[in-house]
Amino acid sequence: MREGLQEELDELCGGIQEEGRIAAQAVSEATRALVDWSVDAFEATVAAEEQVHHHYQLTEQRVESILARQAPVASDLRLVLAVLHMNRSVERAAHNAARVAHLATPPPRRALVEEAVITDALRAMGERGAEMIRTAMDAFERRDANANRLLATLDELVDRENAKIADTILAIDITDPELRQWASRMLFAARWLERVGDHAVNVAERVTYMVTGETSGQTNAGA
Amino acid sequence: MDPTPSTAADSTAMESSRDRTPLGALGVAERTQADATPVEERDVVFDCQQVGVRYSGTRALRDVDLKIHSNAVTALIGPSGCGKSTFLRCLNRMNDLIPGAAVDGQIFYHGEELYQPQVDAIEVRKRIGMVFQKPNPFPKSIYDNIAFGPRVLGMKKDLDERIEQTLRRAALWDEVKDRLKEGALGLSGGQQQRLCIARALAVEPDVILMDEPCSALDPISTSAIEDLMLSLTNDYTVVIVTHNMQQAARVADMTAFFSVDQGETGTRCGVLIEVDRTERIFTNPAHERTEAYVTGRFG
Repeated sequence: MREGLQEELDELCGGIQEEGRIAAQAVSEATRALVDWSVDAFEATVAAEEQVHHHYQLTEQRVESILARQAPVASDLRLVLAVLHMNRSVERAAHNAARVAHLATPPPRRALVEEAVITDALRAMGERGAEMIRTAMDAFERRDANANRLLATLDELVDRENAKIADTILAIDITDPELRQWASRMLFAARWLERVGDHAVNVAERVTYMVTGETSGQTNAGA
Repeated sequence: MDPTPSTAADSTAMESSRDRTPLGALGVAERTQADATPVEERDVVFDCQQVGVRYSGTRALRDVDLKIHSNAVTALIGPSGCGKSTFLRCLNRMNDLIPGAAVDGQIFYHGEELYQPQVDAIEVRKRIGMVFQKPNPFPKSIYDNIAFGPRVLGMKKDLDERIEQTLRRAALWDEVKDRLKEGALGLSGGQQQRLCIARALAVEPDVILMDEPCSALDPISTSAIEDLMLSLTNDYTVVIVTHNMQQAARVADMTAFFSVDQGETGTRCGVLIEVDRTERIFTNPAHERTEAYVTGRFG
């Protein structure tokens, strides 16, 4: 019954899954662009963000159409509302990935002991962020209401790496303008990667809402 | 065709007056304005306990436990044959008028048991008015339609003022004030239904029962009736049976979902599955049968 609605919901779910898959890929490529200065990775990130944005718009249109024509209720309504919010989080994660890729720049010529600490931490944050998006989308696929706890734990690890980067950069004697510029770019990159983790948590929180109807109220809005 | 009378006034005309229980004995509380108090914390108007109905010995409804709170709209939804209209008719003893109908369980109205022998069914129907699916004005003037109930009940003082107030409450005054002496059958369907609501209001009820009041109306008239329902909760308690789930979602504070249980012998009997705040029923119902029905996956 209501086969038309079911078909549209399936299409909506398939679309957001694909959007999430590409967003995770964008974060991985952005991290590679940032720490390996890969031009290919940079271009792949930009292309992925464009694809995600295209999916974002499609998902919005699908949500609008379902709400207007099908008037979903109960679990169908929660699914549609969850996807509407997830869509925003996934799009923001991909956008942050693009921001990170644009910050890619080689470190200054002068050898810096702290460089390895910073780039290792950025790589860890990026890989963790991509993994978190995939985990959150997998939770959506499996209707796993408890994945939000795992995502919150992973997010703490991302936050810890972010704090380590900030502490390391603040401890450097940044009188060299070239070094100062690189360090500030890495600081911003860390900030955007940290937000990727937050957006993955948001996705998992929406999955929890979708399954249980309850919200934890701990979603991280904003960029 | 519904064999029940169309208004409390009609039922007055059909039944002889017996030993009437005074209004106060029914425990009718002072009306309070609908306010920010959560619906579940408002006064209980009906406390239904294990209510069931049999028609000529065949059980049509069983074991309904339901509280209906004051100054709110409570919607009864469910598939055809689930007993929601049967249950609605229990609330003002309309089933008394159906040959072979028997109600069991207990219904407390403001704390007084509605089916006690000494309670006058006519007084009950005066306090608990009813509006039906199809507008059924009398073939009389607009004025006489409203005046009928008060005249029969001896409420003749300040009749003109009563009629104006009643029509205003039913959001019909501005449309009919210049043609009160014209025939009611000349009104549109939506206006006729509001006239029927006004007719029920004219005898100063406490509760308005509505059995699919918009199913014969166009969307604009439906919208007017729905707006009216919401405004009526300032002064009245409204219980509505509707097949239109979106209507329940729009107007009801509380929603009760009824369904049908089928016995091994193929007998079908209505049951109450779940009652909750309307937003809960339509976003996160507790029972999977409610979920299946409201999402349209009822098989």
